Amino acid sequence: MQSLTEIKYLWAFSAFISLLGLVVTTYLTVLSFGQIEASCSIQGCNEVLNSKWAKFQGVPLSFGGMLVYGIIMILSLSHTSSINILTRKIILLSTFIGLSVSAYLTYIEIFIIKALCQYCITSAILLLINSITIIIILKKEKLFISFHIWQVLFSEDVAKVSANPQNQR
Amino acid sequence: MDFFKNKFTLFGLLVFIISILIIVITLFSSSNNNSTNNDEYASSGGVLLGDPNAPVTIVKFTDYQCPSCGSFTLGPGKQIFREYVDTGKANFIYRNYPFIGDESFQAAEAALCASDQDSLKDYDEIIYVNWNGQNKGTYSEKNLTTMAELLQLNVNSFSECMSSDKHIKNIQKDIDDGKKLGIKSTPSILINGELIVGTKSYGDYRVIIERALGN
Repeated sequence: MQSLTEIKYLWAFSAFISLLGLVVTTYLTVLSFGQIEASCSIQGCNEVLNSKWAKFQGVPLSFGGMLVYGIIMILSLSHTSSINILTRKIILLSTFIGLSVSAYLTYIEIFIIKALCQYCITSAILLLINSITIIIILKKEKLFISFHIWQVLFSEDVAKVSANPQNQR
Repeated sequence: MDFFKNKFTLFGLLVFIISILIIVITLFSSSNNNSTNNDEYASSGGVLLGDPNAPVTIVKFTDYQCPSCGSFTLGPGKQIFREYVDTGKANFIYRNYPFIGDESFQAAEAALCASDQDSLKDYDEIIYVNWNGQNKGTYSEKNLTTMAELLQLNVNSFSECMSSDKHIKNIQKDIDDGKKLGIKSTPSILINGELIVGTKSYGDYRVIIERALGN
């Protein structure tokens, strides 16, 4: 029972981190759509935000970040009181996509633009913390039996076996 | 639908909907700003190149340290000059909107000093060609003078102009006018009063210019 309570707190923590990420990415999206310069405490911030990598097909990438954080936040909050395999898969997939894009953009910032954006770095760190939290939760729930993400996402057997973590103890 | 019975989930949904609403409001107010028709006001200062009586007036607000402004000037900006300004269909007004740092202001002053020697277009381009990051000393007075030298300008007059600070008031007027026009970032291009923010493809500008020409 103690472990279940601990898992609930971890989901709440994940939701809180996602809320912070949502605030940061909403701010960046408002800047982009509102065509406003960001107030930066480090040099090169606007250089990153105005670069061609900041948008995809005219849509700011921060809007994608908003969706990722929004999905993780809502589903993490739903997990504080219920167990659902499908929503866990969606969370894991969103985190995987978010983290991949974030890692790519951090690489672009450091090695191609050669400037850093404090908001983008904050978002990347929040996503990393969230990913670690989610992996810890799934391991505690015995859902994440290996580090092979595809096994968790697409294996029906894993889903069935792990449907009720309480029964496994 | 147990999912929606959970009060925590509903709270999360509410927060997310508020975020989306903020974005929608921003988009709405931004599109309203874009339709400002301040052509006369925008062209009430700056340096005009091309035929003053041309049917289309293009006004450019830029910061010399903004990489996107360089992309405009060295990309679609050059094509616009070739197709419309050099052919007398449009004129082009340079206005400054330095905000990134002191070097932006210094480069703007240098560009206006080059303008005094009828070399604004070339100097404008050479500044962007030599862009190498923000506030890194690229646009020091020494480097700006070297650029003037490369364009074979009269260096003595150029240096005299730079030390006289005579263009500061013109730059300040550009900034004040830009603020009144609702300019929040660079490059901001006005084509007969229609505001286009950021660097677009040449085709995007062409469509607006042709429309302004009545085609």
